[in-house]
Amino acid sequence: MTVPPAHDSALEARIAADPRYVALVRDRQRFSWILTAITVIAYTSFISLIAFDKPFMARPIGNGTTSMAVVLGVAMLIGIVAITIVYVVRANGEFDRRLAELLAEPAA
Amino acid sequence: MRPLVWSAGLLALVAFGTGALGADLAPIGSVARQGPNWTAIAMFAGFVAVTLWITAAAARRTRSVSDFYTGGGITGFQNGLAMAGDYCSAASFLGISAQIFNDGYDGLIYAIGFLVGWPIVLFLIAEKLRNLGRYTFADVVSYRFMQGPVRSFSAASTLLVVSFYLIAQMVGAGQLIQLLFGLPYLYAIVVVGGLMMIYVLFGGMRATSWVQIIKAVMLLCGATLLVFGVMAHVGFSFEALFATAVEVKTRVALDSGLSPAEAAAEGRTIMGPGGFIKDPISALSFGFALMLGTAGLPHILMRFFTVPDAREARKSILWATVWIGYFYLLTFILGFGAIVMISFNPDYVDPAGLLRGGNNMAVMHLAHAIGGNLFLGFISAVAFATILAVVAGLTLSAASAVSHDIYASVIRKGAADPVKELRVSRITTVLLGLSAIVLGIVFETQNVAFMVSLAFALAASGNFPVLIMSLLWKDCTTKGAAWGGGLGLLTAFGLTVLSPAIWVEVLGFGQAVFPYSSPALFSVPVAFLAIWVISVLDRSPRAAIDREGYAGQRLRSETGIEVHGAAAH
Repeated sequence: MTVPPAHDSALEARIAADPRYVALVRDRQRFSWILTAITVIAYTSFISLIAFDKPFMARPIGNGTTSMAVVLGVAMLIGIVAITIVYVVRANGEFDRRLAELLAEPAA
Repeated sequence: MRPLVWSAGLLALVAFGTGALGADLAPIGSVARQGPNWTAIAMFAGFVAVTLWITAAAARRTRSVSDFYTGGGITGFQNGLAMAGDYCSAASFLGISAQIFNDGYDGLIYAIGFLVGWPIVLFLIAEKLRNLGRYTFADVVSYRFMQGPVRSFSAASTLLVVSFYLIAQMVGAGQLIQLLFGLPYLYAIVVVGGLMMIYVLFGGMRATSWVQIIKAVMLLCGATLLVFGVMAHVGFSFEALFATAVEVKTRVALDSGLSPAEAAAEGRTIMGPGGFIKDPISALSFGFALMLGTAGLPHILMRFFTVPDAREARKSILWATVWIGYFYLLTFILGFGAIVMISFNPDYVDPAGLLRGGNNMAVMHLAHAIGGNLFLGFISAVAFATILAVVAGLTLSAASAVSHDIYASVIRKGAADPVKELRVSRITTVLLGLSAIVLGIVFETQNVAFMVSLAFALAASGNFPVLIMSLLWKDCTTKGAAWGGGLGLLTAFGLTVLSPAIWVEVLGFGQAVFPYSSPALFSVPVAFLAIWVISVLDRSPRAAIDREGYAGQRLRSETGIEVHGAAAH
């Protein structure tokens, strides 16, 4: 059964009323929505560039062969990995620390 | 002991298949290689032996339903590798590089679409999923709702997504193995179906995880070695790689009778986007199907429950994204490497300019060009291992949907005897394995290319909206989730049937009713809108309970105070 077993309602009520909980949820939510927006906008722009301006994407960089499309595409791959790292560093660092403090002791 | 007996039997089957049918190997014999590919078979037999040994070990420790579904817990790093192993199919390894070999750049657009879903999963779903769920993603979407309707929807959606994904994998596997190992199609399908059944049946999630981890390591090492060979060939310069590739394509165009100016222009097309993206709507729709579908694939979501908490779940995604991103970067280089290194070799390309052995063989020929038969054998074994790891993950998630969501939660109302639940999941595994074999045979000559993108579109239009709305929207209700999600699935499915891939290419009608290549841009909003409208209109007593449950669900999803740790059982 997945509906959780005995709820600790006292703990729940204490956390829900704790201003640090409210602040943590607000900060983490804002952070994840901002990063989501960046990801979706970057990806949509990339696809739109391909859909609407192929000549721009095919243009070589300088006098070489490497094209805009290759540079932007590889930048997308690296950027996707980078934005993932950014979130995990803050979530597993700052946010988890704040959560641990919140769970460990009642608000002053 | 049973797995060991099975393993001996299967090895014998592999040996028999190749030994007895040596005479049938002419189709690939026209390539430089003659006769059965013993290197490939030996290396694959080695992989099978190791994974069956792991399965035997895992079987001894798979006693409870929790062991079966979660494998008793692994670290975020291991899970990240397993996710990469679950996600990087042979289709992307062989297909993307072959697409680049043929048309150049376009393969990278695919690769980016496959990767971009991961941060979305991380930002919106991962930690809440881990904090609320236990074995399947249905645990999460049904958390505060009436179990019956929502779990039935989730299980149906899981089975649909898995079926299409599985058929595509099985047919691809049969054709590939036929080609690489010289096994007849039927034998190849039976070997894949049989092995995946053994892994899941006896070893559950523990064996599945390790098969996926080993496969991921093999795939990453193999692709890295190949890329090293390519880069050594062009003096470790990307500019030289691209310049040579353009030169090669220009020469190919000249040979086909184009004027020098036309040929030069033709050669350059590989550096920019080509015909893959036909119209902007299809492009965006396809992109959204890949991005949001990743966040709704049941076999991927299930992997979150193999780690103890949200912290490790985030690490899992971090590592999965790193390895998958690295892998796609490698396939991109491999595609250009194939253009440079195999285009003019008559052993690999026939006089008409087509790859010998079929469209997907670019990487295989490249491996042969770089490291001879030994390396070709290794990469073939990697491709086979890749298929096995993906189908095992798919089977496990479908089996869990039936045993945990339908049997234990809906039929037994959450009071199932664990021994019986485990038995149901094992029976389901066997049935799934058998039907995968049958479907693989039925669809042998069918065009299954659309099935993977259909699986992604279904996951994006059913599971993803229901997950998001149930996790983030207070007023979502049982009816809204179950019917809205169902409507999303139906829309995605219906539009796909009316799209060119099925309406024209499979059913043979002249003009597609729905002109775009993917339904996601329409079916995902339909699902969100339906969930919203149905929930808002829902005035039933149950709806009040659903809305009231949100606060408690939210608190647990944010803090993990009641997390069911995978290792804790």
